[in-house]
Amino acid sequence: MQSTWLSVLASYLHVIAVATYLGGSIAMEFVLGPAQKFIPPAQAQVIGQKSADKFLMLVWGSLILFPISGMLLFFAIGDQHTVSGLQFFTTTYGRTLFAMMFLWVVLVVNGFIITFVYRPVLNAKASSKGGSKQVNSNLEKMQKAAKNVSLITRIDLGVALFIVLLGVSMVYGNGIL
Amino acid sequence: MTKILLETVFGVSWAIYLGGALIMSLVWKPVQKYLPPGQTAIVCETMGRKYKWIGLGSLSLFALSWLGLGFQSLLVSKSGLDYSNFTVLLGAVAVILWMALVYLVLSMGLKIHPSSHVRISAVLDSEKRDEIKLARKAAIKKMDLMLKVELMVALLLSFVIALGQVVKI
Repeated sequence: MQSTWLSVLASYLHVIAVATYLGGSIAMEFVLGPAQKFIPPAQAQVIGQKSADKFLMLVWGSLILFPISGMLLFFAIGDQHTVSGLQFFTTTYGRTLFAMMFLWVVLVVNGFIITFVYRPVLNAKASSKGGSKQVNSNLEKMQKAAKNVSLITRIDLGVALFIVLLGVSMVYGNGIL
Repeated sequence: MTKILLETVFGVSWAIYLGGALIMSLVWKPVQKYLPPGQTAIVCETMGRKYKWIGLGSLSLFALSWLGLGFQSLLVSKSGLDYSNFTVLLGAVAVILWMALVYLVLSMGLKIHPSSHVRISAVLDSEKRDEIKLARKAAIKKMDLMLKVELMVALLLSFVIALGQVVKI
C-alpha cells in the first residue's frame, strides 16, 4: 500500500514536471513570445526579461524534479532488478533508461547555456556609452542571443518529446532502444 | 507499439494543456504589472486568441488518445473489458473533470475573454463608456477567477491521471 501511494505521488510529480517543461516551453515559445511583437520594443524587452526569469525558475524546478520523481517511480514499481550490472547496456530496457538519462543531461546543459550565457546578454541594460557603433553592436548581440535561445528552446522541445516517448515505452513495455 | 504511441500522445497533449495553464497563472499573470493596462490588453488579446485553440486542440487530442487507448484495450482483451469499480469511478471522475475544463476553456475563449477587450468608441456618450468600462472590469475579474479554477481542475485531473497510471501499471 505504501509503495502504491509512493507510486501515485511520484507519478503525479512526474506529470507536473513534464507539463511544466514541455507545455510551458510551448506556451512561452509559441504564445507569449510572439504576442510581444505587438507592443513597443522597450516594453516587450521588460516583459521578455521578467517572464523568462520566472519561466527559468520553473524550468530548473522541473529539471530537478524529473530524476527525483522518475527514480521514485522506478523504485516504487520495483524495476531496479532490470538494470543491474551490465543489463544497463545489454537490454532494451537498460539502454532506453540510459538514453533518457543522457538526454536529461542534454536538457540540463542547454538550460545552463540559456541561463548563464544568453540570459545575461539579453538582460543587459541599454546604454548609450561608446556611441552609436557600440549601441548597434550590443543590439546585434542581443538579437543573436534571442535567436539562439529560441533555437535551443525548440531543440529542447524535440528532446523532451523523445524523452516522453522513451519513458512511456519503459512504463508500458520494455523500452524501444 | 500502438499503445506506446497512444500513451505518448495522451501524455504530451495533457502536458501541453497543463503547461499552458501553469504559464498563464504563474508567469503571464504576475508579469502583467510591469506593463501599462493598454499594452497588457493588446498582449492578452493576442495570446488569448492563440491559446484558446492550443487549449482546445490539446484537450481534444487528449480525449481522442484516451478513447483510442480504451478501444485498443478492447481489441487486445479477448474476454472483453473487466474493470474494477475503482477504475470505473476513476474514469467517471476524469470525464467530469475533462468536461469541466472544456466548458471553462470555451466560456473563457468565446465569451469572457472577448468581453474583457471591448474597444470603447469615441462617439459614445460618457454614460455608455462608463458602462462598457465597468463590464470590462467585471469580465477581467471573472477571467482571473476562472483561470484559478481552471488550474485547480487541471491539477486535480493530473492527480486522477497519475492514480490511473499506477492502477494500469
